[in-house]
Amino acid sequence: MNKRPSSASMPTSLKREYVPSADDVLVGWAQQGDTEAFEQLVFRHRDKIYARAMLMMRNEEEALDLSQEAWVKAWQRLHQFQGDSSFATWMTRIVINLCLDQIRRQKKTRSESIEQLEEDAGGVERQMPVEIINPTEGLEKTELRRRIDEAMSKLTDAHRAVLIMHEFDGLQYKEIADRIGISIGTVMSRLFYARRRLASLLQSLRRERAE
Amino acid sequence: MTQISQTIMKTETCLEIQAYVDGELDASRRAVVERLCATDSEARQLSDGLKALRSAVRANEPEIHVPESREFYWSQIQRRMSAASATAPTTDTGAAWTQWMRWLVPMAGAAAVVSLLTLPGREGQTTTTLASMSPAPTYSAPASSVIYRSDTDGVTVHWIN
Repeated sequence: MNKRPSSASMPTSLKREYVPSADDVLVGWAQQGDTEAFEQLVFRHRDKIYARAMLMMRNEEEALDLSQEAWVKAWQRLHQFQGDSSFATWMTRIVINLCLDQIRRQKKTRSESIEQLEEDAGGVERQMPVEIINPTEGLEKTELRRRIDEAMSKLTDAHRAVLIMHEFDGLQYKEIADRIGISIGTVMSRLFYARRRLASLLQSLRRERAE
Repeated sequence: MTQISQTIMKTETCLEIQAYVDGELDASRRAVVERLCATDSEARQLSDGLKALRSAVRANEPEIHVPESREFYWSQIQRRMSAASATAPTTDTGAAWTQWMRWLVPMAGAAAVVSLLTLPGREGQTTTTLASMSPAPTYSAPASSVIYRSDTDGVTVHWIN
């Protein structure tokens, strides 16, 4: 591992101020091997990166492992970061790619593949109402956030991944298709299914709480 | 129109409306969906529902925090970074060695062929056979060289003084 330049040995005027420095400044220092600058970046963005892994994997242990792996990869590839996007966006891409790789490796449960077949055949969509009634009306923000999280945990990995990449990372259909390695049509289909399912789950949760 | 084709049409329309809500359509397709939503209540309802859900989800991304202290989380990353950098030179050395071998192997082969072709005749030469090797027929070499050969191992060594 590269050693950081010893701030103790620097003249006072050259001491680096990590906390108030902007991300791009910290990245520049980290690219020179300054691990203290990198640590500051980890501190700033660790929750976001971990949250993305947790949303994708729905497993605390895996999320911790993958988020840490993402930081190690970022350190190793820091010289490739050109600042075309923000550092947070670049990091998010790394962790999402790691999660997608992990999901592919796991080739999850049988129930998911059945659901996938139903989706491809349009079976589930036919069984669901066409309209998406706003299930979020009248809910407090904290409650709504909790319900969305709960509902998302009930989606399959394939549907959740598309939904997260689209809604939280703001990726377009083509970007999602390229990242996952599926067609744009499949992205659209999965996104539509995920939204309907989410709406339906939110409605169910609402009904359950009301009873 | 059959029941199946109606279902396919419906799904396609739904996806087109969704693409409209997500801003994925070009101007002409956008105009088509807008006309549809203006005349078809079912299409309009779907469009409004998708918009409401989309903004609700985007504005309410679940708040999740690392369940470990900053120091512990960082120490684990540091340990992995150290482990990764400790293994990296081995990989680099291996890669460098592979690069060298790409050149060395064909060059060594070419050198062996050249040496065999340019070896002089048998006259005035000495041959020594190693005790550990099986007896070998005499090989030609200059007076200042010694040859070891093992038929069983298929090895011939030229020792040039």
